[in-house]
Amino acid sequence: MTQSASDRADAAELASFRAEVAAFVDETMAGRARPAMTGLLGAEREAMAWWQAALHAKGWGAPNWPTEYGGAGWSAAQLGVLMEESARVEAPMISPFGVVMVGPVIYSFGSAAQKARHLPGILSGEIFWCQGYSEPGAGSDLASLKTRAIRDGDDYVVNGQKIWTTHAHFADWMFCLVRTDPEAKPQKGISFLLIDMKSPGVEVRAIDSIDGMHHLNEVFFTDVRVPAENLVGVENEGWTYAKFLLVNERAGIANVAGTRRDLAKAKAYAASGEAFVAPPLGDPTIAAAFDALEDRLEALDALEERALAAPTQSPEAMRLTAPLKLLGSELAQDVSELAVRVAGPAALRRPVAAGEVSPYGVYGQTAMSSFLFGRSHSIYGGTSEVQKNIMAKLLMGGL
Amino acid sequence: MAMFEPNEDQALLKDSVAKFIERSYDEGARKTMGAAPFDEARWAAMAELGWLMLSFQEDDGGMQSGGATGAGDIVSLYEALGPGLVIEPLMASSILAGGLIAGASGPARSAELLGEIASGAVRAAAALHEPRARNDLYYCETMARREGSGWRLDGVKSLALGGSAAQRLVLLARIEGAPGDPAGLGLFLASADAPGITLTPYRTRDDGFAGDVALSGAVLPAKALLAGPGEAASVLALAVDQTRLAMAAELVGLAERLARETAAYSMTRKQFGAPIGAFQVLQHRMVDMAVGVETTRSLVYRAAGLADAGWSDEARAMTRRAYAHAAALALKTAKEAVQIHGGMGMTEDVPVGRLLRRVQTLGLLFPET
Repeated sequence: MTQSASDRADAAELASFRAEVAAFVDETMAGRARPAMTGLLGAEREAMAWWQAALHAKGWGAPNWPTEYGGAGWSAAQLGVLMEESARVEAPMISPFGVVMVGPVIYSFGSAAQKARHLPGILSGEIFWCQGYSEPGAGSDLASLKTRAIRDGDDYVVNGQKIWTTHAHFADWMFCLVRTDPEAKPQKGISFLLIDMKSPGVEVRAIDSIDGMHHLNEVFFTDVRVPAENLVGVENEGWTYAKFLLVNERAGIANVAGTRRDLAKAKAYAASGEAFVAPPLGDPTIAAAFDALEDRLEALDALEERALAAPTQSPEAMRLTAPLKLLGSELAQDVSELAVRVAGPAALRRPVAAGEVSPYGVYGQTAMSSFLFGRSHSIYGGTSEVQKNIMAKLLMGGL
Repeated sequence: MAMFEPNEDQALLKDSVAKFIERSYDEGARKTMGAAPFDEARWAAMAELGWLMLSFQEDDGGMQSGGATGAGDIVSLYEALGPGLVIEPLMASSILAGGLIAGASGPARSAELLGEIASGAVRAAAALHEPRARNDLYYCETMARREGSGWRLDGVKSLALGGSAAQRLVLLARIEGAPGDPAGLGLFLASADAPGITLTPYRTRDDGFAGDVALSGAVLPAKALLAGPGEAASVLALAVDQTRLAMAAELVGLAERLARETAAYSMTRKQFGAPIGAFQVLQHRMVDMAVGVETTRSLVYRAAGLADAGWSDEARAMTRRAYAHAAALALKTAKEAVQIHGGMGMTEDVPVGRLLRRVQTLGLLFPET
């Protein structure tokens, strides 16, 4: 393949851009303790808020938002560079619920008052969001959700229950799908409501996860009064905004940068003469397993590049989003499984508490936590089975 | 060579194990066991049922006579224990540490001690792994040097299974040769609280009671030697193979419960107006789980049939094959079980996560290197 002059100019520009981003993340993260775990595992509000504030101060709080809302007008490739460089230095994660999810819904469909009230806090990292979608009876079958919002004067009165609500235990706000018309077809009677988590009648209960940590919650609503001005867009059109959000999410959905970092760390660990007398990478079956995962990562990266190049909300973007989620989840899971296999007995101890030490170090314990938590990658945000249903629909029925 | 199938006695044994689990290991109780200290009463109740005796000869206080190995009994026991997610170190004390003691010929080998292990009065734990050696037990940097008429041990052993609940330790240390050389290994018996031995207790991911063992000038008498150079490696290899067979059986029991829990859950969980178990795409995956359980059980029974007649090379090779196969199959089954449970599978409110952690623990302990 020959490169045109403009391709070469773009590549040179991107390389100098990467240098600028790298310098910034290196300098910002200098001296800061790396989290023991990555991804949602190490998601503590304080760390996420600090990192978001640092990015915001640089003008990169939400770089792919339109500039009028505080974005930097970056291309997808530029955003990819920031993700890769942040992953490289193991920066805290960006809360996906604000910048990635609800922010674009608000600036696309929200009122002027909603934009003025909510976008600045998302950008600065001061306000945290959670997502109120799933319910005990409405997971993969999300459209059957039952949480009810009834208009009463200037308020909606909300009753019902959400589940699997990540970060609800420290979020300030929830963007929530509620049923406003029980008579309409399931998808038609749903509205998109912004709920202050401090409202009377909101109760958050923790769910213990299989990795021994607390990420998930149940959220109960008992006669919660939500001002009608917190309705986004048009009543009963919430499903449309939720779908918009799903397609919009594709930029980070495959988590290529994070998985690339985790795979590289696992391989470095497997090659480590410090951790192992006989580094496991010397075992041809383990070396082959790394090769296979690297091949899959490259293919996923290429797929993502094409998906991001497709115009937002285009049929092409929709067709490529579900595979990104499906393959990204599976790859991350297989990387953590291989990391556990490499660690072997070192993965079997419960994570050390503060002040404890293990002669094995902590990598193996972290790998097992990632493996256990990572089972959720193919469950949250639409299970792998739901992604395949979406793809089957497109494949069999056209768009 | 006869294929193993549980006989009438073994079927009764499996039945009594299932009843015990139902009584002492119901789902509610199991949830809180990860935070609870060692339960001596439950241990005594299990010992009372004779579960620790199955691998020992009558002369050593066990149940086997005439040179029988008890492999079929052991496979029956651990297959039935698997679904219960039992946290007490039955296997660690009787099959692994007990097997190391029983198989040795040194002065520390004692029928009296084996009888105490078989009765549950004493718990033993084997400290075999080292931090940088992964699964290569022959790579042993812990040194045993002659000092006076006895021994002085220095080094770090990691992941002694059942270690934090044990009164006796079986220690693998190098008497001569370079790390990695099996011929120079030695096995020693020590009290867990002997001077120079520091056990750091912790819980494993499956809620087990383990520990790291730091040996710092631990002085042991001459009679602490279980097996010296030339003998220790083969004693070790046999005890590990015997443990692998018990683990393979337990993995079958774990996989079976995972498949059963998943099928049951799929018929109660409704989405799109139907139980998810009514969807063909999930039915086929659950059929794959069940088929995997049955083929793996068959392989483990084949190994048990061979081992029942004696721990021949063929029996041991088949055991290693069965263990590797069972570990892989149970892991695959556990991952599918979590996925089909959906969000619920990520929580401690259903047993699949605990089953997954136990599967990983068993599979990572003794793979061949």
